[in-house]
Amino acid sequence: MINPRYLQTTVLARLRKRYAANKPFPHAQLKDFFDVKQLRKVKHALLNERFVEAEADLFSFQQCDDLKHSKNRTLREFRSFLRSPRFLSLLSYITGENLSATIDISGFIYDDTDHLLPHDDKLEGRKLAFVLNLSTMTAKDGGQLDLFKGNNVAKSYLPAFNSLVVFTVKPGTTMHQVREVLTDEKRITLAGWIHGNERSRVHENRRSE
Amino acid sequence: MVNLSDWINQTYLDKGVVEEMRAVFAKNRQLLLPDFLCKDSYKHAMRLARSAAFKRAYVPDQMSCAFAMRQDAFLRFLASERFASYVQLITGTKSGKRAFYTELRARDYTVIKDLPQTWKLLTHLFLSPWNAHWGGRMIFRDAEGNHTHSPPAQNTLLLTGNRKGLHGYVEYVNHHAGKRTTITANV
Repeated sequence: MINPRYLQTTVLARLRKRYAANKPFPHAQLKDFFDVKQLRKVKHALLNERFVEAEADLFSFQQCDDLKHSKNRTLREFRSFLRSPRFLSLLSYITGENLSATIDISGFIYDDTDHLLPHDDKLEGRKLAFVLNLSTMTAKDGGQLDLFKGNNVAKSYLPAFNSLVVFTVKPGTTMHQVREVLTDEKRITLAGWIHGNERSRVHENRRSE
Repeated sequence: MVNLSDWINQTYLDKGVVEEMRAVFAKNRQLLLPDFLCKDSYKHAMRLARSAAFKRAYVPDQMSCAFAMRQDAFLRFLASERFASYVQLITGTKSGKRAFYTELRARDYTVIKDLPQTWKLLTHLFLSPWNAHWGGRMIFRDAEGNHTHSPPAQNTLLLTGNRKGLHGYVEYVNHHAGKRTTITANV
């Protein structure tokens, strides 16, 4: 499922170092992460799911239900893979975070004028945020994932098919947004959060005592 | 001395109409009055608003918009005792003593902050010509999750009474607005 390049020790060591050092907060963009043929199957299956319009002060997009509710075999298998010890240990190594198999994951479609305003993802249990891009956008299409430092956009990622962006959730620090889509190109993603495990939370609590 | 008829459309000063407005507000806790200012006064107010000194406010997780606080003839009218008493006739509550302009353009917005909402009444007078497809609607959400949407329609007054769990925000203004801006007078 994973591009063999990301199983090489030297590549992983480099990614781990880069992740921790990345600004404005620890994150990584992992290009061509999955096997393309399999990911195309996942995208095709996702687009057959039921999407509903979701609008609030912070956002406007279409969203499908969490993949745990999907009846589609391809999507269920993909979700299982993301929860597998193999995938989680790889991500844990790159990010330095202790991750559990608890994952929230949904599909999102951003159309013309859709957006997600700046926020920091804070919610109990969320350790790692991820966005798996299933479409490619250009600058004129918009839809960039912007990472903030203070009030300014410090880093910007244009969606590229099969790129995975991950960052460690830290309330008050990891502010980010999805910039407004400006054309009829659709920004399609699978996104969500992987939770930390109890042991990592206990360890953090002890360190702060 | 401020005369209401110098600014407000005569229709809205009619006793019978005021009674109707009072009944609607009592039921809905909100009232929308199109063509609120009479024609010449509207042009005057718009000229004043357009020449106001706006200052940008950008706090990414709270708001992106501009404010103008310096009092001109129109803002003084909105902050006057006469206007406050008129609003009290309709809503049972006097409008505030502080009036200011807000200006929104493409990519502007405000978001809900879960803080106690201590205001009793909000008065918004939308001034600029605007198309609802560009966003910028004034949206209120109550404790039950019900929403009211008020597009910033030209020369329209929106009165909103507070109730438990009510929060408001200004919808994101999208790129279809181009270089246009929408100015609102607020009390």
